[in-house]
Amino acid sequence: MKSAGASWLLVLASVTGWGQCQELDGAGGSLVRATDLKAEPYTDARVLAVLAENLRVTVLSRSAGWLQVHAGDNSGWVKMFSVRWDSQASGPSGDTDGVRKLFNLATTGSSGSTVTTASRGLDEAKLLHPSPDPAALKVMQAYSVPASVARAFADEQGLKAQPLAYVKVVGGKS
Amino acid sequence: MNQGKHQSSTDSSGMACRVGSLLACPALLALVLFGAVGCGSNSGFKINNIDIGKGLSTLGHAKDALTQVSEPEEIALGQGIAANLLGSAPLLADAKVQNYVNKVGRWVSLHSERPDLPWTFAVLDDASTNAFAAPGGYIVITRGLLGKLNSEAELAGVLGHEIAHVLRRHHLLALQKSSGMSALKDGLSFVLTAKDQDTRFVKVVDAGTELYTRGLDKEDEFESDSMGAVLAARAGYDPYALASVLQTLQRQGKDDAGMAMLFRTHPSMADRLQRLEAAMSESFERLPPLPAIEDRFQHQLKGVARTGP
Repeated sequence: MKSAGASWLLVLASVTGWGQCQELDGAGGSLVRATDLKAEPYTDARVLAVLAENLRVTVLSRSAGWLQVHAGDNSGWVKMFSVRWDSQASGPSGDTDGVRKLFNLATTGSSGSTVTTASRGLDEAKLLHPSPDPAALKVMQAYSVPASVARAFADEQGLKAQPLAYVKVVGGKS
Repeated sequence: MNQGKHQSSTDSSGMACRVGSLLACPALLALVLFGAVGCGSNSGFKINNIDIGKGLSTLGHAKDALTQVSEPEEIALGQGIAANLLGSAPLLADAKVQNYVNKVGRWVSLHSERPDLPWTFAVLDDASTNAFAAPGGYIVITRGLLGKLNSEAELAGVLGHEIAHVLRRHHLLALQKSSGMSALKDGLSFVLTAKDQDTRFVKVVDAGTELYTRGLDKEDEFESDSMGAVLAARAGYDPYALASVLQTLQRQGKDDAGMAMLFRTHPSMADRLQRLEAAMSESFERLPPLPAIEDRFQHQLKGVARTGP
């Protein structure tokens, strides 16, 4: 049961077209660490419970860096990075993303999940023994758009540039 | 002859922003927007506890290691590698989708420190899940990966990751590491004299293509995740969308044959998410709510099912 505040937020998100909230349709995962369950997807929102590491959760939706989850009798929001998703290897169930269906992705003839060297599509062999297609490169280059077109495209949806510096990757090279 | 065309952006590690293109220089924009507010710091270059000056010098560092390769050479190498990628899988025959992906990618690239590269994007008509960046700004994404995405912000995050590989010249670094600088320079020196069929140039181009089967330095992948999230946010998109893509791929698992190469050539999704979490610290939490833009994305990609096998 989500809080009234969260519901209001979802309504606001859909009304304003700021569709940050992504439906995730009950896929499952577990917590990588003990995690605060919040009433709303904000850092300073009320803590409903502290969930234990490895606890099973069902994920309902995402809002920015937060996932809305069911965990036992509790419902609320946890930081998205706290959840490690179950692998849905070769399971067609739960595969409900709309766009994916539109793409009619080939699932290959075989029903098994064994990876063979004759993998579908672009594979290592084609890149180890390349045969260039300069004509296709010309077509690709023709699709390039000037900066002015990209700016107008961003304006259509009211995208607003944000000031944000690069972050040094923790543990990375200098 | 063609050498001067992109020269202006050669040194674009952030400081050399032109006055007329504020948007193309987020660091400068940040200073303009927040410079007068006083962030409680004694350093004029610290914004929300992010040391912008340090970020810029880090960027400059990678470039210094590679000053021996000129930007026209970098672009020519990228064109050769892109032609090889296009020889391995055809372009998706859908001008509307190609145009859409170019607009998203170009918009994101404008918020980078190399906004004037000939940024060019393409969708390959291929069911595998992958995306590739070639030097100079040539970036392709497979129909398979595009089909796993849920929003324009997710696309922006993926393209931002690839754009970061180009910005930091990760492929040039890897080539230099594997074949040595002299071999790299030797091969590239022929391209600007229009001898692009020269076997020495072809050798470097093919070595650059082969890199995709081995993968880049793991740290370069982590760095591109971090930079990709920043670039998407700068462009105004929900920056958590890239993490969402990584979680989608984690969920779908490595048993998917179409993802085999991606998983083999990249760090594990768990490691990437862990590193991305560390990178997406408080500075991201201070951003206003930013849109994912699902409707335009869904609408633009609607026709694709009819063209794919």
